[in-house]
Amino acid sequence: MENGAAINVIEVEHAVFRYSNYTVLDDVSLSIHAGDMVSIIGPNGGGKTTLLKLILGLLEPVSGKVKVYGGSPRKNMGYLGYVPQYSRFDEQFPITVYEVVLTGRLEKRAGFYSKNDHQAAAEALETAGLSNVSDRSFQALSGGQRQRVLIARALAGRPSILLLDEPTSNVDAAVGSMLHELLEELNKTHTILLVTHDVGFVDDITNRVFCVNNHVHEHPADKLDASLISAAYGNQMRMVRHDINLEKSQQ
Amino acid sequence: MLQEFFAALADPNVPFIRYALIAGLLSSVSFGIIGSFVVVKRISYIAGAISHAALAGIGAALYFKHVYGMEFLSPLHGAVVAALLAALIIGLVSTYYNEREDTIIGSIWAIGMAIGLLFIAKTPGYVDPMSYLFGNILLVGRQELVLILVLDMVVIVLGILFYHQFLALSFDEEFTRLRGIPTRLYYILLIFLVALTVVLMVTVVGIVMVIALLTIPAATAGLFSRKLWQMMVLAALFCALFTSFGLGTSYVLDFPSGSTTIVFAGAVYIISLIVKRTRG
Repeated sequence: MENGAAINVIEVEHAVFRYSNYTVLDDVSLSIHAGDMVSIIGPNGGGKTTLLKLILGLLEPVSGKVKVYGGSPRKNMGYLGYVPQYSRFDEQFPITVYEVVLTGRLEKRAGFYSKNDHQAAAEALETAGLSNVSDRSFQALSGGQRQRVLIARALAGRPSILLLDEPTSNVDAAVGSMLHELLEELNKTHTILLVTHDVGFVDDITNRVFCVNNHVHEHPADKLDASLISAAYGNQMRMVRHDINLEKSQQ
Repeated sequence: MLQEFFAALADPNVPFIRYALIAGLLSSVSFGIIGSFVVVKRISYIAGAISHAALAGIGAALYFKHVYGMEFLSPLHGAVVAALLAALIIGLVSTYYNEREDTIIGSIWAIGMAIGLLFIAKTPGYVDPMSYLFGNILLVGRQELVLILVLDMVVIVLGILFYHQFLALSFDEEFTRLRGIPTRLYYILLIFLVALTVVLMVTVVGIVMVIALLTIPAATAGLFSRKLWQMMVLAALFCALFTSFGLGTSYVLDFPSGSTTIVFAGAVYIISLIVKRTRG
């Protein structure tokens, strides 16, 4: 996937986005190739989520263009599978895991889900390793399981690009590594975009890193060093160098 | 005691008790469906505003009927128009304009009541606003019963037909939009159905208590449901139970029926909460 002839599944050209008079994203250009595993990092308020929403077509750029498979995101939304953070869901909503995943098949027309819809939902649950909890109540699951339900819901729509917003926030290390494995597996068949503040989570599976702080810079994924961290979080950040032990080096 | 009530139901000389019971049972189905959406989507305050705004229509209908001799007008007709209008305003404001939603809702709530009371004050003869505010089973005649049946059918059919869209919209609006569903349109349709449902029960429990009958059965049902449709079925059954019990008790003990219904519903809800908590 690293050759120049790769297909651009997402293209952002000189996109600008403002909330009233605050410019969140200024002249952003990037292109994402089929099969990429991209992580989008940056400080809070830097525009990570805004960039994701522009690509999803939930927001429109003030100027510039966003294209998904050469067309507008709204037109080609069928290619996109969105996975929001599980923590923003109502704790009391009466819905089962299976019903949540079925909403990934929802259509405009009135009526009921087809056989094909049920099959797609069952496959998605299988892929996410949730077949055994499909009849459980969504709110009764752990955070990590709920996050996987939302991944399954996105998969049910059979997208070719998955876009995840902070999938590892509020989950513990064991769950994180499970999600890590799942994403690595899914990357074999899907292009993946991942908004995260958890650089360590993705550094070994992402092939590209975009740093969003009003502007967007691409960083080589294999050099997650001080320059990247300071670009992402500003100069106030101090890096903890686990690879150097000061006491030993002073002796 | 209960025999008295059943005797009254069968008595051809007092049809209003029969009508009230039928009205309560009929509208319980749509109350179960729409009440559940209202509870899970957390828009009970919108239902409250719509029901109070309905008084504007009730007052206007009474005024035009008596002042201009429009005999075909029933207060329910006015209630339907005013409720739908209030729903449209709230729906448009909350989806398209960047106004403070709660301010708009509060204004519609109060302005609707004020307009209604002005019309009623200027209507010749004595009209008791209390009947509309707190319910009066004498208000349900044969004509009203037909209208209630029609509204009920509209709400049930649309509620079932768009069940999955409304469910998805209530659970995750953003994701639903990404499935290509026009969520704003569906939200306004849902609020319209809330408006029709609110009108159904105004004559039985009154404007002030509609919101309780919309939310209490659904909230009680929610304690025992894992799926939304289960919640709806249970809520409809609870609602039918509450209105029938309220009507029966009020007849036997000569209590106001609306208040009896709501107090009973509230008691069942609190007991259910305690049972649920203590059983884990």
